[in-house]
Amino acid sequence: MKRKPRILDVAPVRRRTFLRTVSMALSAPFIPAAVRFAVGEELLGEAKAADLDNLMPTYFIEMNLRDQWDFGHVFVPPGLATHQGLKIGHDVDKCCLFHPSDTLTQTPNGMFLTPDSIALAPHVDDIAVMELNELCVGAIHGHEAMNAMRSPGRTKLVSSGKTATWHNEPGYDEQGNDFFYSTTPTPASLHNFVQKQITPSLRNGVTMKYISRFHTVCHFAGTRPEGELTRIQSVSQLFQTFPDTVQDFNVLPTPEEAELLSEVVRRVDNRYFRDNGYSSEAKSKHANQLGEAAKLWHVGEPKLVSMPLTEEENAYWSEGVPPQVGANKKAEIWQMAAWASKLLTNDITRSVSLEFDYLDVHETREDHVMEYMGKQAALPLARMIDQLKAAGIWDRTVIAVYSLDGGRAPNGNSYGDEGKNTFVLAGGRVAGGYYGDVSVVSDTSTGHVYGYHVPNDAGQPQAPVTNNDNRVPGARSWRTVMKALGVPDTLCDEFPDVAGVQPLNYMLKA
Amino acid sequence: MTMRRNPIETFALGLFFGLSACYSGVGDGPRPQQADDGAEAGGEGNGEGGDDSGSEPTDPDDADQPYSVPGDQVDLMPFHARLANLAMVLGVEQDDPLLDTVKEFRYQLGDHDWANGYAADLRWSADRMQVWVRAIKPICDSNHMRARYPDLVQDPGSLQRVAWGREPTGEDLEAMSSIMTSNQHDWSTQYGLMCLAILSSLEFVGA
Repeated sequence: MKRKPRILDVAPVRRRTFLRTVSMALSAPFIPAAVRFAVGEELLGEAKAADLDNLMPTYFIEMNLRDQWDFGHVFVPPGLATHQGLKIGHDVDKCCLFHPSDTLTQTPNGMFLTPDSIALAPHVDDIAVMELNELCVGAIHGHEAMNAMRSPGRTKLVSSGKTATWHNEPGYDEQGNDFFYSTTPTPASLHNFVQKQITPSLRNGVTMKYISRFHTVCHFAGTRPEGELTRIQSVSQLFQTFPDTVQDFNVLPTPEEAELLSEVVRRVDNRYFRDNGYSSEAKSKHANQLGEAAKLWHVGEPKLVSMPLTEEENAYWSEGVPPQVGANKKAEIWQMAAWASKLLTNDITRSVSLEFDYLDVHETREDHVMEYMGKQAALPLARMIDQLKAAGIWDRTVIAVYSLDGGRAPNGNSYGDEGKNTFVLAGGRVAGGYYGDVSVVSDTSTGHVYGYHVPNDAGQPQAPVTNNDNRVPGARSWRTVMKALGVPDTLCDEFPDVAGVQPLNYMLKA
Repeated sequence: MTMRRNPIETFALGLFFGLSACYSGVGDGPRPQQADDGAEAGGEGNGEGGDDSGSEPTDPDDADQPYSVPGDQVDLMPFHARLANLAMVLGVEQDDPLLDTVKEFRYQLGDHDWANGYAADLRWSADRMQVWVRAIKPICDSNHMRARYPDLVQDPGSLQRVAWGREPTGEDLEAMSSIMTSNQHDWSTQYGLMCLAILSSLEFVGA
């Protein structure tokens, strides 16, 4: 006999609040997935149990690596790893892989790691790599601050319905970023929006803008401005944003005072909008911000975490990670990884973006360049996964790593508008593997001609191309991230450039 | 407001930015491209860093275009202007200890330090509203403030007049009425909220 879902016993006006409460309780790390589903089924009926799952918190780390990061020492394409007679070198068309094939480690799922990335070996079942994405289009050999994988449909042309993506980015004036218009929110911004709907008291997501120059990363919430991330430009700003005392969080002592202040400022500001000719949209956005500010002026009893790293934490996270190579350093990538882990494992916020760079190198890419990039990407990633697993939230966590402004060809002399554009996805719901391939098609007098085997819909490499054709559209990578994060299809389909697009299902566990 | 440069100045600026290796900042804003095909614009690298020698050509006509304030988003005044205005309201110098908390949070409040890579961030976001109120609350709670504006709860115009640089209207006073008439809060709380509201209004902090 079909049972009546128990949720019908709760007054209709209280059901949403009730479900949020239940979902929060069930989201505790020690609750097995089966129990969550059973409770969901009991409450909602079998058909709607999946809806409850959509209300579950998920955690997201977006690692954005500039300038035209090469993962060649992290995940070696099988075609290069197994090629006999590879001409290794730092210039022209020699292969920029400085670890001989007998030092590579092949994992059971067919991935090849180098000594620089071997720390990832315990986690490769949960790490998917696909490097043959639509290439970057920035005016200076591909450099851009967006990437088609992060905002599919972005365009440099003013286009109907698309809005400027750079307005919220501090210091967004330099070349090498480019100006794009779009409708598709970038992943961490949309995830931040979704999570704040699930848990209104959640602290806003952040992006740590620690690139060593004013090359930057553009985050864009589009029609979901509540998803805009807090831009953090310095370490002290990060610590001030997440103070470790309740007093510092509660600027005003009661929620009533916070609401009253918000309401009065809103009324006072009416005249400003009227007199200065702002649009009604500006007024509406401001009212939303004031509403959100009221929640921040008094947060009650917030979860606290001490952001400064202890001596032990410093030792753990920094071991073996080369220092940033750049002109104006703000923080190391291992520090960012540590802070991201603290914020997520303590459920302070659920969307964190890291911005880091290795100062742009072309023409002669020496072995230390590849080694540094390899270790800087692999070691913090491995340690974050360790921590997220230990905290029991790995099955609800996604880490997306982007070569933000394009990757490279294997050539020693290579720019970011050719060859690869890397997308790495890690998480408990991710099906590990290296999808697609890069191989040697023929030899030249100095090196090789390389072939790019774009994966088919089963993830299997197809016949190679030697140019930039036939890459995987950015919209598919974007939908893959959203599916892994449990963002509802109905929400994704609201954005025209990704509506109806199929994710790369081979990168996800069934 | 229209900003005009003479053609020689425009040409010189265009030449300078066109040739500089790592131009940063001082742009008039974006220039939508004519094409979306990532056409080469120079930028041949030659080793570590500083490869971006190519720059977008400056269209001489752009400099003659009127500058218009974006109408769909409010922005803050630069931090140093807000600091100066606070000092003016308080009748103190900018190095007065009363302003220490504001300066402590200067980068969270949108100040810039180009030498260390911190760009100005003048969005009036919820986060920044939170930090702003956190930073000015010690000012609003100070004896100095209460001595300077002793009748603020009964007469918000006394602070509005100084902070906004104009005579308050009936609408301005009406907006504050819910604080003035609140029975829930004691005088001290009312005073603090009145002060915070006026000093957090767009007329005081907005660009």
